[in-house]
Amino acid sequence: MKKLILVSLAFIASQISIAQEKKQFEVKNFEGIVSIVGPSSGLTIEGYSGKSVIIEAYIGEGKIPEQAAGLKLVTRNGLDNTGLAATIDEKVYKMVTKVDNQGIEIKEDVKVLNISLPNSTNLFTNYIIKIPHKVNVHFKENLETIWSANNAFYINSLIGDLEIECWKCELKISEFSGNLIANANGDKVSIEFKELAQDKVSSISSSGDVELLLPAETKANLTLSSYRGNIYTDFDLNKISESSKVNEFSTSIKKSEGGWGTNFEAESKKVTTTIKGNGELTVQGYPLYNLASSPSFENIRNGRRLMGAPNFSINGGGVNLSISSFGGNIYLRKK
Amino acid sequence: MKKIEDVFADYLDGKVSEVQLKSFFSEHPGSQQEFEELKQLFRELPEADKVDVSPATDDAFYGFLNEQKTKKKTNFKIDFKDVFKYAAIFLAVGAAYYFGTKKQVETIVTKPVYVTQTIRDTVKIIEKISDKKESKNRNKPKIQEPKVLQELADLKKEMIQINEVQHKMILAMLRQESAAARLQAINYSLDLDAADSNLMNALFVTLERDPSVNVRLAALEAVGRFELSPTMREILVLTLAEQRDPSLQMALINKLIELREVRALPVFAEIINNPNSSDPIRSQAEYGMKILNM
Repeated sequence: MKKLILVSLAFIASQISIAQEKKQFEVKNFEGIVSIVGPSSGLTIEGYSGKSVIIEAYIGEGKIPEQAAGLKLVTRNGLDNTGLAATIDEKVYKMVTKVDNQGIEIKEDVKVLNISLPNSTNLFTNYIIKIPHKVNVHFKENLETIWSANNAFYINSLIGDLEIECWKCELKISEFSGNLIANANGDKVSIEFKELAQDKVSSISSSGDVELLLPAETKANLTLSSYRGNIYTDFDLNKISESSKVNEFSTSIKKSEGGWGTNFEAESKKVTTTIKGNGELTVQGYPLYNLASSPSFENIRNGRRLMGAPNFSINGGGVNLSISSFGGNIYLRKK
Repeated sequence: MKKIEDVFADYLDGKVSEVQLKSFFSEHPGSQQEFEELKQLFRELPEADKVDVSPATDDAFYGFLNEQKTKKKTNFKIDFKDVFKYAAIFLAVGAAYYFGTKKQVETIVTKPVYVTQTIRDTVKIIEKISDKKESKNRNKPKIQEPKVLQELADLKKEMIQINEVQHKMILAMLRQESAAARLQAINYSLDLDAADSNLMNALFVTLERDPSVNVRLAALEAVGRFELSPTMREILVLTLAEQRDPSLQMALINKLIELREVRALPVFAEIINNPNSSDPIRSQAEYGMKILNM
């Protein structure tokens, strides 16, 4: 009997050790954008202070058949060149990275590391991708992966720009610093910001509940919309009127040193000029010129409320943060 | 319409009674004051004409007069009433011109009230002046514009240029790699109240093709702010038909309901009958069917 128990324990221990054995692949000294395509279920993306992009995965139950000896695994994007049933390639793209204040595009060479994870494999499970701080991350889930297992998708301690598109995912982001553009169609999304970047806008859209934690002192202009749910918060919200939105725009224009600039000196007075109403250019609210009379501006805004513009500010206002859910509630909390 | 100068001349001739005068004043507000001014001018006229002349000049004048009398005798008879009448008219016209001109110059240049007033008022004045100029004084020599006029003309020009640059910047930003930057471009477009066709096309292309759903959602908000042509509305219907993202589906359905776009009905029906449609989307499409069939 004792023998049987010992054998059983040894068998279980061996199984656990196999299940927990990890393999990894490293892309050394990477700077640029990491673009990940694959299933979100069970995936973890982690920020860390190193310089390499590291892909890790637990060895799964499946085994490579003997017949495949000497052959390479074919993945959706080519050959498995990581030993983890994943394919990577590194390319340099000419991308528009900036626009100057005259509207001229500035193109730069940007290095992109494409990581393609397998849709479903029993060879490896629970991929972990470690990303150096300040490396930007894009994640896009394939439509064909949405029928796979529905485990949570974790993003921890990342610093930088993050773009996410995932289907039927349970997105859980923690200790994130930067700007976030996320579209997560799942029952629940929870996002905890360590710091919300003030230099770029952030936007979160979801089909289900959105739980968002922001540091209590975060400055932001919020666009909150929930088609079928309610919105709850413990922040003090200030309603942004349309006129102050115009002023805010003018201020941001001024900061950009002329490109959007609308501040002029006339008779020793600072004059704020804006475009508002039905296409009127105005000087301190008085119409100076109506764009509607110009044949080149035939599309004039109608009188409806600005749906997409921020409607509330917190802590005096700051970067634009849009949160929308079409099927759930929004919970905006102080951290 | 009888002018005040004519009335005054008739008055001097004794052709106008006090009753007629009162009637004229009541019909022409402000005419009484002008009449009184003319009367005052007329009273002062003889004194103004009194000039001290030397005896030598006097002799020369009368000598010349007698010489002319002997040369040519005419039946010309001087009617002093006529003299005064024409003198009065001349003076009245001169005075009217003088005061009129004086007022205009004050309006533009000398009256400090306009310079110290708000820019809003200054713009009003400029618009009035420019309207007058355009309608009346096309061929007349230009009055030199005060500095503030020039500044505001420059401002107007600059505003139009800025608007063009804004459009250009938004178009360029929509081509940026970063979704946050493209979203920012759309946010900038939310503050525009007029869009040229290039910008509208770019927003529609973004709505249809941008890789980020959030950017496409924002593009939908941006285009939805403008009056949409039938073609643009059709693009919205087609975008919904091809759409698989539920957030965008929901936003498009709501927009098409808001626009009362009946061409969306077949697409709504397709969504309702599609087993893959999520419950909230199907429910919203059913709601849209009801509204658009009303």
